[in-house]
Amino acid sequence: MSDSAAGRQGTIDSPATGSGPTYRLAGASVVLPATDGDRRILTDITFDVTPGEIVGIVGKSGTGKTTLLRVLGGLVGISSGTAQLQGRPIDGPDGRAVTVFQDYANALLPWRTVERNVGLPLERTVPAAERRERIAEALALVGLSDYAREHPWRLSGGMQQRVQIARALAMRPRVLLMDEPFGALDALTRANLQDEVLRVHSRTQATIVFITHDIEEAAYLSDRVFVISGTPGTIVDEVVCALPRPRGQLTTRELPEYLEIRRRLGVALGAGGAP
Amino acid sequence: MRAKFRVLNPLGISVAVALVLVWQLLVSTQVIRLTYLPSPWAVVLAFGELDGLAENLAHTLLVALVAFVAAMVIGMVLGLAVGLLTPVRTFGLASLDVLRTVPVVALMPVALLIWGPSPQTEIIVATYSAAWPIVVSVSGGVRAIHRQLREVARTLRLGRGEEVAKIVIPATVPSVLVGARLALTTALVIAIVAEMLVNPQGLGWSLVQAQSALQPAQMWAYVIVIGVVSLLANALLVAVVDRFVPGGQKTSRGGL
Amino acid sequence: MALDTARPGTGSRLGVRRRRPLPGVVGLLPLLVLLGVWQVTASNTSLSFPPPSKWLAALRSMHEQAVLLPAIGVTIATFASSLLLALLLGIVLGIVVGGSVPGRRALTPTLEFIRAVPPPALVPVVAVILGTSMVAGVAIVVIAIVWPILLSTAAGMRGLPPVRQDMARSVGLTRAERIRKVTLPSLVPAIFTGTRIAVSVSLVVTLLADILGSGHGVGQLISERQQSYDAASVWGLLLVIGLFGCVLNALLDVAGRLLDRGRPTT
Repeated sequence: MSDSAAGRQGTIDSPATGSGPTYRLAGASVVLPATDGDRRILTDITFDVTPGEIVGIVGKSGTGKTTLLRVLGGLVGISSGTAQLQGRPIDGPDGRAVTVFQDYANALLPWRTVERNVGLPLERTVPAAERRERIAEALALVGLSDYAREHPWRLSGGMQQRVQIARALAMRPRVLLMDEPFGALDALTRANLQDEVLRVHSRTQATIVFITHDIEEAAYLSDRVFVISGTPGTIVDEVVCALPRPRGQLTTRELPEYLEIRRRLGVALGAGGAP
Repeated sequence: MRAKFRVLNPLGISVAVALVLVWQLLVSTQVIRLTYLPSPWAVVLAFGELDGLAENLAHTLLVALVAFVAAMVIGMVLGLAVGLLTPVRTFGLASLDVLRTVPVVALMPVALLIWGPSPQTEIIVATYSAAWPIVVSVSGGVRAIHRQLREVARTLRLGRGEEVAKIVIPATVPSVLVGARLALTTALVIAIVAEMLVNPQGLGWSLVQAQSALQPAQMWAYVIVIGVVSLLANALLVAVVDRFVPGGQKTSRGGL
Repeated sequence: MALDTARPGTGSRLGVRRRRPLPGVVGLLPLLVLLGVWQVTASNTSLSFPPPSKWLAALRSMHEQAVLLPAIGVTIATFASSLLLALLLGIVLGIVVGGSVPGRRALTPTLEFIRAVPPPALVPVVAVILGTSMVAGVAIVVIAIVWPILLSTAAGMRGLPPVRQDMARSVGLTRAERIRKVTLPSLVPAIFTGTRIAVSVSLVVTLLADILGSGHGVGQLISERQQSYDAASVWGLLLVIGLFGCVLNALLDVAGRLLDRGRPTT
């Protein structure tokens, strides 16, 4: 359990009421059909994610990171083992875990305005008046209240990614899944959005699982980082990032613990220079 | 889709074969009883009954070719005029657009009134239709190129005539080829339509003759001949366009 | 005619951006001048080139014989209902064909060959099989124009970004919602491109089917008048058909702009 989960009431969502883990994966593996027969993408994945935790997943490309996130989001089924969300087997996307995709331009619908993009998941289930409230709340949370009636493609990349986050938050999910959410953004925007995510997290207490290839980003945001490696991919290392919160781009990154975590991740990925 | 064609597609080919077999089966077991729906086998046999196929094919191809060449010349002149001369654009564009939207079938009775049923009428109508894609493509191409290369022409101190001859026309080649592809298939199709309505010769005429003689198998045979001919004409021009214009064929799909 | 398929969506159909100080109507001057000169110089007894005033008179007399409006009605009804049917059929089949890899592989060769046959060549064949009723007329046109819509929709389907479908599932949309709110709107530009081609082919095929299948529309009327050497009526009907073509084109332009509203311009 992270330092902040228990006790505080989020503005958008309260953490899971049950005491069990948010995610529990045991011996999960994924086999997907490929042109030359079936291919095993992930093998023997075992981990728990506790409510309100921020978990980073790092690994080189081709190790099945994205597939793992798709499993957590219910977009891909597992072939063997178990994968549970709040004690129930994951059976398709059910609104409890929402994915924020890297390709924001295509994940947002260009013909809808920002507010109608954010409202998209609520149209069938939430009455109009409440929907408007929730859209406004979600947009305020990511600082986009002034852009509700703009079309997303008129906004900068960072702002578009915020729209995606707002859309996910409007659903009040238990879990926010992010697939290399800032991979397509420049360094400055990236740092801003990282802090945005931390702020959103401190207010909503949603569990966050994200993928990144940037070990600094993983170390900065996470409570724990899983290192995934191999073909088929499996989790080869787990690094606890017991850095104090709230974190800051300058202060946190100067801590010796931060540097140590970064070094450990680099070693685990085989890319971080000499041990 | 064209890329898919290059790799062998056993599934797709077996589906096509299966469809033909099912058709054969449905007709010969009389599950479908439409008086004028022949079985595929009857269509195959009908190929032997096509009188003067070579002649008719030659006529249609000749007309299409003449119309194509004439359309290239007319289309390029008009296209260059529209692309290069501002007054022509200002005072002519809307008129051309209006003329272009008149469906060619409606022009055929008029052409028939003026020139009577003759190969010339057929050529005139086919040329008229085939010229449009070239006008569209060349005027668009010239405009785009003109802006970019005008500076070049100015630095080289070329005269207006030289600029057109040495820069504009060579640089327009890709758009000409793109338009040419549509023009050739249009010339072919409109020649066939004109043969149905205007000039009693060629494949189109044979097709409507088979219709009035109630010979559905022969009609299908003609349709297959027409399909293969336009497939080949299209493939020829695609090959030419692909050879000279990188990525050019993407911009010109469809057409009548 | 489907000549502008190379540049769907551009406002000016000759692919030339009109950045002009004069209004576009000025471009109609040559046509109007031509008609004016024609009116003044043509002899009232000309067999092929009667003056425009005689066209109008011929139209009026056809109207008084109660043949003009019914013919226009038949043609417009055939045109509109076949376009609607073709859209429905083409979109549904296009989504099926384009949406699944096996479906695409299974049907591509067949579709490519059918597409290669020029639509007008199909008209007499289908007319012979289905007869000459109005329903047959509609069926002929549908068979001829469904392909551009189908193929364009299928191509659009192939071009759909996979992440869009993932997103739709991830935010919990139902299957029906996904099709209505994500897939169909994503396909709008592709469907519109196909529709533009279909409309111009449809005009040609509707008239041709009318003439070859001996229907009761404008095509039949103009063909009859031509056979009785009634030049004024032929020119008058050409004017009517031309106007219809222009109106359709203008409507398509407006529709294109409306559909593009709120979408990125690239």
